[in-house]
Amino acid sequence: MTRVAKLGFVLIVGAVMLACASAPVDEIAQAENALRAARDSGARDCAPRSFRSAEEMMARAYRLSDEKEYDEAKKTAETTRELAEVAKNESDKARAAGRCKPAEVTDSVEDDAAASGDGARLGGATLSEADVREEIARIQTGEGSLGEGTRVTALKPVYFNFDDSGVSGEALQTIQENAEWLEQRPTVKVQVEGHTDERGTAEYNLALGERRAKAVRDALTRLGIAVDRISVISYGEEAPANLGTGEASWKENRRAEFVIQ
Amino acid sequence: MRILFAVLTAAIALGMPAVSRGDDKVVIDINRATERKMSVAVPTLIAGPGVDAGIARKAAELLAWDLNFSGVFSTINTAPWEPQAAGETLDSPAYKLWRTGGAIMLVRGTIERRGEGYGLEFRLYDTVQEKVIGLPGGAIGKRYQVGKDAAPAVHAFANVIMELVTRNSGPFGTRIAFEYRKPKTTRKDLWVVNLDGSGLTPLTQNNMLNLGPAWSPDGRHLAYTSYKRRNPDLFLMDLSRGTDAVLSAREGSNTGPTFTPDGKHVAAALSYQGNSEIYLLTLDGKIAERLTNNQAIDIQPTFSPDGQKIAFTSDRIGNPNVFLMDRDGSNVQRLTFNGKYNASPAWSPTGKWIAYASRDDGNIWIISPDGEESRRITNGEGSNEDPSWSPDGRYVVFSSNRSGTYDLWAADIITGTVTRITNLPGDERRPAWGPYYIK
Repeated sequence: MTRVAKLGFVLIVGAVMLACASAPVDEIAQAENALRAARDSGARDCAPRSFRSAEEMMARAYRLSDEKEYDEAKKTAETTRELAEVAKNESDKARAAGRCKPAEVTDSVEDDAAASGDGARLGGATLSEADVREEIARIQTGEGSLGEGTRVTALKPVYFNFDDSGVSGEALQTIQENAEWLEQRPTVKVQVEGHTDERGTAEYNLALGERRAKAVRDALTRLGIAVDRISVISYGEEAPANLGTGEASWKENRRAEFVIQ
Repeated sequence: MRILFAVLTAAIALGMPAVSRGDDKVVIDINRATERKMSVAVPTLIAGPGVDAGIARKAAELLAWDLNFSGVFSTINTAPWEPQAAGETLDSPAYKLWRTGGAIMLVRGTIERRGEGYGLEFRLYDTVQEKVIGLPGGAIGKRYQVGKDAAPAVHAFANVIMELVTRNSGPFGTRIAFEYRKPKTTRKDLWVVNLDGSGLTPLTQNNMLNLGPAWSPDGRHLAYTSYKRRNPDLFLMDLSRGTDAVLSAREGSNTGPTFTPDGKHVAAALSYQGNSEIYLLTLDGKIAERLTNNQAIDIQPTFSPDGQKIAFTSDRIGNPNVFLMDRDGSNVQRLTFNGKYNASPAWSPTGKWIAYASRDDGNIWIISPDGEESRRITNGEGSNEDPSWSPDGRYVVFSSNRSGTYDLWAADIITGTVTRITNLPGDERRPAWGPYYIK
């Protein structure tokens, strides 16, 4: 190699290094996040063309990065992000308008929700405060146990076994459905009411009802609902859903109920 | 084992007087258990000028109620004999007449107008020995001055008779606070009733949930839980002034208050630090001490009469049971071992027993603080819960649904005599037996 050639090589390498010294990690991560949000919103089904373009663009960005074409990789990643955002918007609009029902969502909470078959569910999208107010008025079923707040059909009671505050199986599935509903309505605050059946000592039942309410609150927060949106109260055995006696009544009374504040 | 519970001797069955005279003192054998009760006649009080006959009759009926409640006495029906007893005076009781009527004892009283109220006098007689019976302190009779209601005098004399035969004053003239839920509602107010079932009065009227009343030792205050501020908070009601103050409105549940025997503190279960723990509060609501520290539910503290020990309910072994601890929370010991669910401990004013409710058999039990002696005081009829002791430590009031809905009933722990106290439509629960207000 001649001196000049050597110098030229150094200059070229230096120029490349100045333009983009390393892989565009941040841009690729932002593109990935946007793509995941689009996928979570059901864009694969509800905005298929935009979503496919975004996925192809993402793959290209990785390929360029592997080839150390960092400048190109960076630009491609930025384009991927924009495409993914477009796909998500299209998908949200299609679902809000009822034009599309996604066959696949990624998160397990949403899998359960989708399996329950409610087409009005919106996945990761959120509703405006005004829309939520209107909806709550439409689906309300009554008041909280002391006449404050609003019960709605969408937030179902969670049921428990005797002298037990464990949430699993059916109870957990109910909590997951309620969590999804709350996730889509971030302005909604709820009070979880813990209740017991009439058997046993009232004072103990008050403590047991509190345990149940807190178990539900903890499960909701593990599912991503902010803890400051959930308050708890126990009514023990004092506010039965069913005033009758016997196991048929009791099992309706061993519950946690959701009241919108 | 010594017979712990003494009742009057079965002397009646042997044709002897149950009450005999020593030198100048009545001696009654109360150390032999019997199911026999002493038969006593309580005829209508002899009414002075201007006294309504109905008042004289009601006073006698009330005294008869008290004596029947005691578990010690059984009153005879005086109606067939009363016409023949006309003209009887306190100095000339018709011994033979009442003896023929089946009574070995007789209570005679007079009632006269005095000022705006009444003056009453009572004497107790032995119809077999045909003698007036000397009362504690040596008097042969008792005189009382009352207002328009003769009941305080009647209850005071019933307590004198109880002191004579059991050496402890009776529970008469006391009141019981309780939760009352009207039919088909889920709200509860606190009410109070006289032991004899009269004087039903609401203490709260806020159409909320008001729960678990507890009396101060002087009977002037009630601590209780109310949801009136949309959370189970503790309040302190001043019964004479009719005012109410917040005792604890900490986050979470504030429940199950009980006064220390000196009346200076309230112990209660609070959950603001995570789960229900027992704390000692000053009467202005400050935390004086935390007494339990456990992942389990710790509730329902009740003090020994000397204030040195606390019984409480905890599910730290997996299901609710009664435990004991020292006043500072140390030295925790399990007390109940029968069945899976024992709760609602109440330490008797005598210190000898802790009453509790077993969910396994639905009965009220009493157990000695050392755990060595234990007895069932209800017979399995219905579900029996929420025991609370009379101030003399002989009776336990509890709620029972033996008649369909929950009502208040009281049991004499010695004879097992059970008396219904309330019979309201709906449910009466969690009675708290108040201290004496008539001395």
